[in-house]
Amino acid sequence: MHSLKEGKVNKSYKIVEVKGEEKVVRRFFELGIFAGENIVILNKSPLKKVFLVEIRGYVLSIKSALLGGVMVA
Amino acid sequence: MMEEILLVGNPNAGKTTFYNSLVNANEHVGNWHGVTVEEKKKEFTLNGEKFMLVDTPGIYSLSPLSFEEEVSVKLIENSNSKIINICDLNNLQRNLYLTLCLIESERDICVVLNEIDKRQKYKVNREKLEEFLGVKVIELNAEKNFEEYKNMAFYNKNSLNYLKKVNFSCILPYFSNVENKKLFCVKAFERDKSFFLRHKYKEEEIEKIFSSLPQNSMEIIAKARYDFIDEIINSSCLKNDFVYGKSKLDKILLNKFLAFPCFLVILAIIFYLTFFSLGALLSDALSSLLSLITTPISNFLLEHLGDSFIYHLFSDAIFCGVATVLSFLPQVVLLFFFLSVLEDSGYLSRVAFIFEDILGKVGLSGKSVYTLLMGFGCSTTAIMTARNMDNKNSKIKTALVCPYMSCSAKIPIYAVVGGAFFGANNIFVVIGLYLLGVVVAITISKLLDITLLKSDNQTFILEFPPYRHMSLKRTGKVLLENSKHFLVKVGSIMIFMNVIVFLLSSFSFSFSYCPDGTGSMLQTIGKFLAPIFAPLGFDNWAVVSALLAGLVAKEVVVSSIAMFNGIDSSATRLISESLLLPTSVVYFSSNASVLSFLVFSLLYVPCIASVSMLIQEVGKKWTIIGVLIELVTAYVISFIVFNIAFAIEIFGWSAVLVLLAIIFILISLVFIYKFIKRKKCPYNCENCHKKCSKK
Repeated sequence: MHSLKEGKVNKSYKIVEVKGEEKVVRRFFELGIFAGENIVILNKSPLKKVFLVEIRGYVLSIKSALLGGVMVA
Repeated sequence: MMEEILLVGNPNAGKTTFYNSLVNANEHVGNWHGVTVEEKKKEFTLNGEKFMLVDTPGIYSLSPLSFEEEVSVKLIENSNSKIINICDLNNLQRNLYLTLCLIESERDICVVLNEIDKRQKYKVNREKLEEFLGVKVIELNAEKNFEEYKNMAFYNKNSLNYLKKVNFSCILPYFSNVENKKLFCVKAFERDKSFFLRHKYKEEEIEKIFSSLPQNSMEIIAKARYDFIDEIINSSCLKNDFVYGKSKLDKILLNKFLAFPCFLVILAIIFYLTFFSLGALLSDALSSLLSLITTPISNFLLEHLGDSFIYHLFSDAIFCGVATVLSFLPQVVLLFFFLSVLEDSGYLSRVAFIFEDILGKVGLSGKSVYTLLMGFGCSTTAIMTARNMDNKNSKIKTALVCPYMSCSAKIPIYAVVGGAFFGANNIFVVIGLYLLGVVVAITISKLLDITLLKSDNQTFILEFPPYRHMSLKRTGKVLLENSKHFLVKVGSIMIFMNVIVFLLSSFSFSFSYCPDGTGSMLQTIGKFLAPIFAPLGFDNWAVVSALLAGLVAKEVVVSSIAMFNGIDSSATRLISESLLLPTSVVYFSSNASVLSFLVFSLLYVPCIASVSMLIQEVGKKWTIIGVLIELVTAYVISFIVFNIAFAIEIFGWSAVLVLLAIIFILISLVFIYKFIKRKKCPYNCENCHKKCSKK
């Protein structure tokens, strides 16, 4: 198990746990990012500060610092 | 008071498009998140009844994260108005999440499925969806079958059965005498503190309720909703497997190695078309068209009034001002046309993604790239494109630093003055000037970021839009709106300022008319100010007056120099040669002072047109600050450049390099000292950053 921040591009991961600041975690849940879902990193920005991820059939851009709390397997 | 209806939906779901169609307005829409940042209201009629339609910023749920979201949530929660919930058909799952939140709050809603850009193979069984949700659902394409909106109806018959599998028993005792138990339980599970504060619960009570919740209560409730949504989608929609926002095109346009070259090619084409080929052609056409009208009037005035003040006021100030405004118009139209294409197609969001982390470091946003690059063409028109940015502080920063991008009107100055003194080496001077402009822009933006205009990092989770076809109708509207704004608002200020500068340059302080400019206020001011520029190496009144005249437009610097030196031609070579003659009125004491003059020209106020634009786009306060910053940086950096260059001229390269090395070492020592002395944060938290609150 590792955080999605350490994930590789174009690889699908299964979310195991989502932790972190309450309001951020709440937003993750609202967007469908919670345990059991599959998530794919589609792209990383040049300095790897922003990730593009695919979740539940759509694409989100997320600051990678926030993804440290999304644990995947 | 008229009954209000709120227009609610996810970001980028098409609320404003719907709003515009319904109330026949022309609010700005764009293919990205957060174009609507404040509420807008307008009247509309539904089946004979009049309502007030309120457009709100996009939200994902009723728990706000950013300021814009808070605006929407407050509007929803502080009233009991009916709600039109716009859902994007392409991303129905996530859009329905908000629908469920609204249904749980027991609001009367009508779901409008936005069918614009519907992907093939996507079919929804509307009746089934209605059955599941217990609310009215209509399918609508604002551009095709808009009349459907008349079927809108507002009710809420959902019995919230999908929440049955959530075990609320742990907190149910707290709400035994509450009428609406389910809503309170859901809000408790969401740990929505503001909801309970609004319902007059005390902090301790809320703490107590929350402490009885299972640890992952937020996840449980989100999962319950999404399970229900999956059930709805599986039985009422034809499954499709496309991913919203994902495209094969991104394999190239967002590729690690190809992204920047692709971007540069696209922007270079836009730049070339706007400022050179197409733009220049249209500008010329417009100005010759204009001269068809103004020349007879000028001639008429000349005939009847002679070579008088009135004639010059019209032909030199007003007509010239109108001509300037009109010459900018094609650029404005083209810049906004391309911006609108980039925006609607979804490419601008990709550009923002590529540049976000690099520009974020200096307090700009990824979308600043377009404005800044277009600044190399013309600061004035480029500043106007900053209005498309979603964050107010980044917009101001972008607009304020845009003038440091050396605009094309400055090229003649570099060519004439630099060419005269540096000859073949001038190309290196010019490259240096362009780089200096960029470095200064970055530095100032960073300084503004840590002082007056902090960026609020709220937009850390954004939806990524798909590539879309652009709509000609929408682009046309954008162009019309922006051209109108430019001509009426900016144009009037520009003409007004032109007249003021004309008066300054053709009247002396005793209000006598001086037709050739000798003894005019501008020249007197130039002479008066000249000593101030002595530390910069040029205290010659003619140089200073040329710079002052350059406030009208940068091209005027060169024509002033020609005028002072008595050259009646616009040939670059002749003006350059005149500068080198011993009789030249425009006098530079050394190459160092020429360099300093060029740096000053690069950095000081670009032109009154750009100042007029700043007033319109960022307000008076920021314009004044921006102009002050421009003057101060121009003065300080010219001073530094002059002194270094002067030292090199006197002591030679090696001595100066040694001196610079010593200064560099001293500065490094200070930093090393600070680094050694710094206190280590006792908390070893994950993702710890500089502004860590636990320090």
